[in-house]
Amino acid sequence: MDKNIRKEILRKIKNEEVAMKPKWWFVLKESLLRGGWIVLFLTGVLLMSLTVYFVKRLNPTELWEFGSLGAEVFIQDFPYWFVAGVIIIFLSNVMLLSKIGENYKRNIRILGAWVAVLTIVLTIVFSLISR
Amino acid sequence: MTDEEVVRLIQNGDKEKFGEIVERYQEKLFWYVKGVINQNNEEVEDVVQEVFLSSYENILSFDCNKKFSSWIYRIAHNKAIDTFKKKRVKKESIEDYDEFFGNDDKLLEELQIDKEKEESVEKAINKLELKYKEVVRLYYFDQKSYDEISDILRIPTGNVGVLLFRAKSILKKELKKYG
Repeated sequence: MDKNIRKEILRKIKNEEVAMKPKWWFVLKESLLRGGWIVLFLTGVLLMSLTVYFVKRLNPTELWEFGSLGAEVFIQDFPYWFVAGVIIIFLSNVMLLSKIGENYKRNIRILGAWVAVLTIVLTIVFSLISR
Repeated sequence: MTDEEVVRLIQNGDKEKFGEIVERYQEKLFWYVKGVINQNNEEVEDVVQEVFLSSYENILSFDCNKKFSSWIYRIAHNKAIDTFKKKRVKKESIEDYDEFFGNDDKLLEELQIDKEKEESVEKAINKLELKYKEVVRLYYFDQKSYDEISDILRIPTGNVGVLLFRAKSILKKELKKYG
């Protein structure tokens, strides 16, 4: 290394050209990240519950009795947007979770499975409560 | 005094102590960044300076119960990757082979390569994909453990072993071409 950068850096520190970010800034950043994950996770559960609700409303067992016509109605009225939403939210959820704390050390598939199981369990719990 | 003790003093207001951190790490980070971005010395020095300034700005976020070297290497990794993406690597090799390799012969031993063929190994490393090159650099030249590499690159510890294994296989194949 040709030049000694120690002097240059200490000069910048002394002249306050560079300053330490306050501790609260990092606490806020971390809290926003964790809070954001909880909001995203609950949105995922809500979307999943809505998907289940709309699929139930379609009543697939009844439609089955109408043969190909029933299948056509099922395909036409299926809540595709909700399913797409659930998938997008799920993937974002896993990505965000992997950035929190030391989660990067965990296998992303295990994190994904963990989020999926938790989403399904909470969806079942909410549907039982709302009955 | 350990790195973490020095950092605790800085966090408590002894700003001058940051000079000690610079002295301890400037050489190590220089070769690490050079290994990643493969640019001329001036550009590498600029990146290293940015690494120190960024670490000073963020020093209050460092938890003194963790390893400081992993934390500062993580910042160096981020800065080096940013520069790498901006400038794209030049296809020329690094000069000063002896300094680049230091005294560590572990890689040469594992690849069963003679010391005289060090230059070929360096060329082969430069041809590696960035993810392999960085793991090789950190493990063999900076003597980081799997756990530390996992902290620096933010990947699971198991993946570090996989990347190293693949990197060595690629290196062996590449070195066969050099004879």
